[in-house]
Amino acid sequence: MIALAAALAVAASPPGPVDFTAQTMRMEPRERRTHLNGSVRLSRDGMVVTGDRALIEFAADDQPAPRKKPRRRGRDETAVLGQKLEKFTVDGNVHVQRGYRTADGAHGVYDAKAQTLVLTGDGKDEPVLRDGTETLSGDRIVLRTDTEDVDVQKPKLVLRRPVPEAKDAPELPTRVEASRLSLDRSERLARFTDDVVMRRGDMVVRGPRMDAHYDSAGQLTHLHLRGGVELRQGDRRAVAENADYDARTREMILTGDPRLFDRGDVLVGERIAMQLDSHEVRVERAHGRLRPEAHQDEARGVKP
Amino acid sequence: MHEVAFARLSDGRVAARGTARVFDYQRAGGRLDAQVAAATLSPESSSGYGIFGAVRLTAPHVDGDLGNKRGSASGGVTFEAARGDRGKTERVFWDGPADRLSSDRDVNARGPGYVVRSQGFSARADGSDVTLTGGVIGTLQPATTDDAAKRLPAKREPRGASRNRVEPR
Repeated sequence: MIALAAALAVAASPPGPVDFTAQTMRMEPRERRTHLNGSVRLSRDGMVVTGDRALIEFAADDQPAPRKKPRRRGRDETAVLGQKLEKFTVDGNVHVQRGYRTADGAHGVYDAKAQTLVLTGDGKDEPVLRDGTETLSGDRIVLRTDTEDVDVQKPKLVLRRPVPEAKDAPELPTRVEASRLSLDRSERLARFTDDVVMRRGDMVVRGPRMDAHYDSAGQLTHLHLRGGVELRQGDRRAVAENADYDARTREMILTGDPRLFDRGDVLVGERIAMQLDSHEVRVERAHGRLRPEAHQDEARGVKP
Repeated sequence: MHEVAFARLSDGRVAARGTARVFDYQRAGGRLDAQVAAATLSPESSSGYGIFGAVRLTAPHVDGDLGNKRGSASGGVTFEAARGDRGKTERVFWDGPADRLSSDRDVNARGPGYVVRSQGFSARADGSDVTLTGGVIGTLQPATTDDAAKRLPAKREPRGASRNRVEPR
């Protein structure tokens, strides 16, 4: 309950002041904006954004009345500073640092009311988010500044250390692509949605959505794919409604009418367990069609 | 002259008025020199400085060449605006032909929602463009969704609503 109250208090807290440094600051009163140029640094509540230049835009009104000669301000009246920052846009070598999470892009837009920082690329290079040892890129990275949540459009994620390998096995990075990714730090959850593709070594898994769970050290513990999954590994192909991967045992469990297609063999069961290191497959309550002649080269020791 | 007060009229209104403890003006060369000068400017609302309202400027020393439209204020120039802004810099130059004001010394300013410090500034005399130079550091207060709500027009009760309201006894 205390944690919930604390979380609500954080979510409800207004944004803190924005500190900034730059080489020069040019104010355009009529446009309600200010340009920062040269080694720009903006910081707020532990988040630091640097870049080559920035444009600060101020809210249209809401300022204290003058002490003398109070008067109404027209819509087109001018302003220098003294109004509340509504948005800032940083361009050129944009770098964001928040705790151990960093992000880089060509263009960053901070919206004070929405409490978001949106990072995009320059059309050539995508924005990149580094969270611990993981690297995440995508078309558009949305960092929420009131929480630690992140939304990514068309994410490409490389899980560098989270999938532990067998002692003598080479380290294989796990790459994940999807149309969208939402990182929920409080739940230690990365939720991929729309056209999820996970690649690890020769294994490719596709599905509409996947949840990746982490432990407190940032290590991947489980992957849960739902909504119809297809797995390919060499000549082997499997389909199921669900797939659950346990990083500790390095085993993928397929459930929900799972089917395994392996060079002419078709196995259907209640549950199919695939050991990713040894390529061993166990099918519970199996029935299907086997074609041993298709596997004679395996019996002779030829690698399939 | 000692203990001088002046006013400047423009288009039928007082654009500026001020005082100086000592004021020396050589009409022939257009040279002026003032000690412990203070002036209150009332900028046009359409100008870049209009948002500040009336601005009071003070300087221990002011000298100028009105013929060449150049001058400077030094010894610690301060400004204080009706809006609540205030600032200070060691000296300010006025370049009439270039239509610019500038300073090459530390500038410290603060006002509603901001604090800023720089190593100098350059501005168009009408305030339409103000550039802080030489390294700038400052703090800005961000807007919130509450600010946006405040700007929305208040809901108006339908006519007769208050008349028909039944107050609890």
